[in-house]
Amino acid sequence: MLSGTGLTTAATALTNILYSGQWTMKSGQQYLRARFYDPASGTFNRLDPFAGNLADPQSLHKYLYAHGNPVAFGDPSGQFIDFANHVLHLGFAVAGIYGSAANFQLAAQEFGESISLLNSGNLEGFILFASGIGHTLLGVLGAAGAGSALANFNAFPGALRLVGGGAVPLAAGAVTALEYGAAASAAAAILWMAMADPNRGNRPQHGTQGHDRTSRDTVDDWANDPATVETRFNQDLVDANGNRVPGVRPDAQRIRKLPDGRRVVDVVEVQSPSQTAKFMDDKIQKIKDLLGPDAGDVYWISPY
Amino acid sequence: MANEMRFIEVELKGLSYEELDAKMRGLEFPQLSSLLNSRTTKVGDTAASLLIERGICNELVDAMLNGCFTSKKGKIRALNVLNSFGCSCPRSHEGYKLFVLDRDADVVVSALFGLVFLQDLGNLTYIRQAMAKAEAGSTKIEFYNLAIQALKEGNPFIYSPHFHDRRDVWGIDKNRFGHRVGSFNRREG
Repeated sequence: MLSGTGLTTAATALTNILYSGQWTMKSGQQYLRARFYDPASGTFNRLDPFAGNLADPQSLHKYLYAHGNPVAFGDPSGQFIDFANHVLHLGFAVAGIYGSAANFQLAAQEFGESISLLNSGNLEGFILFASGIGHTLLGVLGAAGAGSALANFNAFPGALRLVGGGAVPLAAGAVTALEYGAAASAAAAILWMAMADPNRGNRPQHGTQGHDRTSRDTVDDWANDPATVETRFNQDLVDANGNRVPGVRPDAQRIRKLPDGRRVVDVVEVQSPSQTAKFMDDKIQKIKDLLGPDAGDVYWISPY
Repeated sequence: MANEMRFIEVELKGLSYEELDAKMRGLEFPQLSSLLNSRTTKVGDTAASLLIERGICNELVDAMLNGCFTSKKGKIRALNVLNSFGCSCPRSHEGYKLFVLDRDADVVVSALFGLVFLQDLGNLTYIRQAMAKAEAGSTKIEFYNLAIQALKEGNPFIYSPHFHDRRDVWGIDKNRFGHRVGSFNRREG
């Protein structure tokens, strides 16, 4: 197929440099980097050192050149067919790693917040907990897909395998599915983050009328203060730059600009009638610890 | 009364805070105070919220003295309702004095909060008496001691370091603790 002996007489090449950048040796064999090709016998001088890919049965053939289709594909190294395959599988691997990491991070945030909410008797925590389980599963799928893509890094593109139709074995289908799962995991994480609550403004009421009223009054108070940069009602805690600090959802918080231009975060928690003063003090201390140097005025107040 | 309350509780089960507020708004003080004992957080907390809104103080102290609050949650809610009135409730110390002897540490912690923020040195006697009856080495002792220190030093924030008297109900000395009293909207730009 390269410049081997065929049914018709091959023209004599004017140069040693052949198709796909191969090189003819003095022995007459053609150098394909990993092994030599003998045009006289029409075979390679040894087995293909690339073990092949279980998901791509044609790649297992030890003597076949470019899956028997040199028009469509090349094999510049003598091992496997196309650089594009690398790119595709690398893409699946990157998508899987990203999707896995993003989903695990989202799950960790949701588990942390759900525990905090459930501890304070807020049933919204169940929804967050369920979402955390969903993101964990997506994270596992992303990791498995990334693993599969890395294992098949040198393999035939999954898309072409599918086009190949019925000859594709079940195992290959599973591997392909995992790789597409990696891409799905990444896409789901990106979509979720794009659609997620921007963590600004107000969330719905989560306590008694008095609790809600007291919290809103605090936010309204701050809204009239020129030092206030932005306010949040019943949203995830943020640091002075507006980045989420998972694990707590204060009743009211604001980012405040100090006269020297530095920003701090003020937080107010409204006591629920069944919570003790000790519980509230511990809760505020936790928020202060989470905010560190970003902590401004962090207090709890009684409802009215 | 007990049967009536059980019936009301069943009727209120599963409602949202908004629905509870609308349904319970029509209840009288005896029913609301009884619902402070509810095991359902939403029901008990809504009852407390409505009592705070109504500002009913002396009847609440009477209910405390008459043993109406039987559960730990009920006692804590009743104390928090009392705390929300601050110094404006002339008989509140009677309720605090009773619950500072309670066997549950959380109830004691809540009662001590009131006794400390009343800032009446006469309350030291109640606290010392309660401490004398407490089991040596119990967590309650730590809070009794903290309360005594706060009262002696005239600094209630020793007892509750992160509390802010938003509505200025405790008559806290503004010269010393002005930043811990009143609206939060008093910042320089």
